[in-house]
Amino acid sequence: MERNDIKEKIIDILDRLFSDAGVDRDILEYVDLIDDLGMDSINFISLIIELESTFDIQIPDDWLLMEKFQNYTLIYSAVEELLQIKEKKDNE
Amino acid sequence: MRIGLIGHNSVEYIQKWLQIWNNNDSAVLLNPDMPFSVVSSILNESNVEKLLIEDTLLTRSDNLSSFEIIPYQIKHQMPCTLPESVRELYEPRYDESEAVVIYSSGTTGRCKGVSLSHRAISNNADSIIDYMASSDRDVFYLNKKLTHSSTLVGELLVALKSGSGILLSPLAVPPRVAFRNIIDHNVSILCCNPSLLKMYSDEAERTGSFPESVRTVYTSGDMISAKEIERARTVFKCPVFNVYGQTECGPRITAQTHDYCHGNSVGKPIKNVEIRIEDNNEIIVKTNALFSGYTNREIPVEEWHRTGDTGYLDENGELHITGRTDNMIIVDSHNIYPEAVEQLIIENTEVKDCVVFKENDKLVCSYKADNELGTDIIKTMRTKLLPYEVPRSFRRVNEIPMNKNGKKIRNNCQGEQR
Repeated sequence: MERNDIKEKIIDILDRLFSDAGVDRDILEYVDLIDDLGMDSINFISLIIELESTFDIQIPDDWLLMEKFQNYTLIYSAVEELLQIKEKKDNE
Repeated sequence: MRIGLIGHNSVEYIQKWLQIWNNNDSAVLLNPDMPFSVVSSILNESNVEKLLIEDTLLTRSDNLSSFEIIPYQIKHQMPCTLPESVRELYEPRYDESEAVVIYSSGTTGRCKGVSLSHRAISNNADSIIDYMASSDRDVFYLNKKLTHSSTLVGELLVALKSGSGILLSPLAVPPRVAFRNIIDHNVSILCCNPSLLKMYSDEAERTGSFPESVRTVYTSGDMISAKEIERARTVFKCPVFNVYGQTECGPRITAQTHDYCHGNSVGKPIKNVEIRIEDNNEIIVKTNALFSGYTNREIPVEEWHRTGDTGYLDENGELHITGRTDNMIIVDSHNIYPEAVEQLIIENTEVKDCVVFKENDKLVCSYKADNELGTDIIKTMRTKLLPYEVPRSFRRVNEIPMNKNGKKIRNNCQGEQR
């Protein structure tokens, strides 16, 4: 998957989950989901469910911490790494 | 003596809590997500001098220098079952001395430290065991904060008293991981709030399966539609019962059972509890699990406790909750007093006036200000309010809608958007 496709899909998810926070889609890339948008455990579980279904990945149990997904950059890195692992497995 | 206890759910948290009891002290339970300025004011008003704190929270404890701080380490990784060595610390007690202080709402303006005796929580746990019929063959899945009375008494204490297994889970795990934990540890009794119940139903519907070990699911903490309960019953293929309570009552008041589970009722009063509906539809409760008082308020405890909730009894004698006599809002099992939140927003930001209300299960604030305040307002309020008290959305409006008596209108109160 291209970098831009990944980015667009992540921003789509954040836009859907945090649409009522009054944040412009353009700045979702720069906000802190915990400090700026008050992400709680229910939002976090929804984010994980959306990421897993959109990218067909499974986030390992020891990554399931809010701090590991508290901004776009961290989410992108996690998704990219899991997509690479998945691609490797598919090619084996 | 009152001892403060602050930490995330863990084996060590439960161990410390039981040790406090065994030293004949009472535990003031504090939510680790609270701003520590709020923690400090709560400790002061509860006359707490000593605080047991999970060591990972020490970096945030600057505000607590006036208290004796005793850190503890987490050694058991979750998910894990509560070890026998910790279970053995539990000794049943029914005396009138204070067991716990639980804060049912957290802003300094309206916080209510509810003092519960050993008599109250043990009696309530016994009545819960009566309707759950829990035993040493059951396993409970603890996936909600132990600072909630329903988790502490309705799950942990019930499990300890009935000899059931206790699986401790991290709080924020997706349903697929929760289901795997439930299967791996043979969980038979699952308690969840309506938000989690919906997520579990979605997952069970998507995958076509739900852990077979679960014999009963209980939901509490917020209003839930009859349709959502029915969907859960269908996809889980096991009984799903709605229950109702309030910390001041120990907490459980009523519960659906096999014979009384009509629609989204909250069932009938549990053993040793009576309810009446007043002329203004307020539910009043008489229970052997009544609290002893508030830590910071001189409000006498009456034989019949006024819940502030309104409801009615249907033709089967089942209770249905319809709302509140005051403006309190419930979001994800948390009680929120909008007036206190509004006051703190006005005091701490450039907002001139505002109204806080619930919309689509979320807390929303419409505000009047000279300028759009962006996400800074959320950042500021996160240092003043509990996480669940911070509105998810802030909307700037021209006017705050008022009724003819000058009171803020909290239904459909978006105001005229700017």
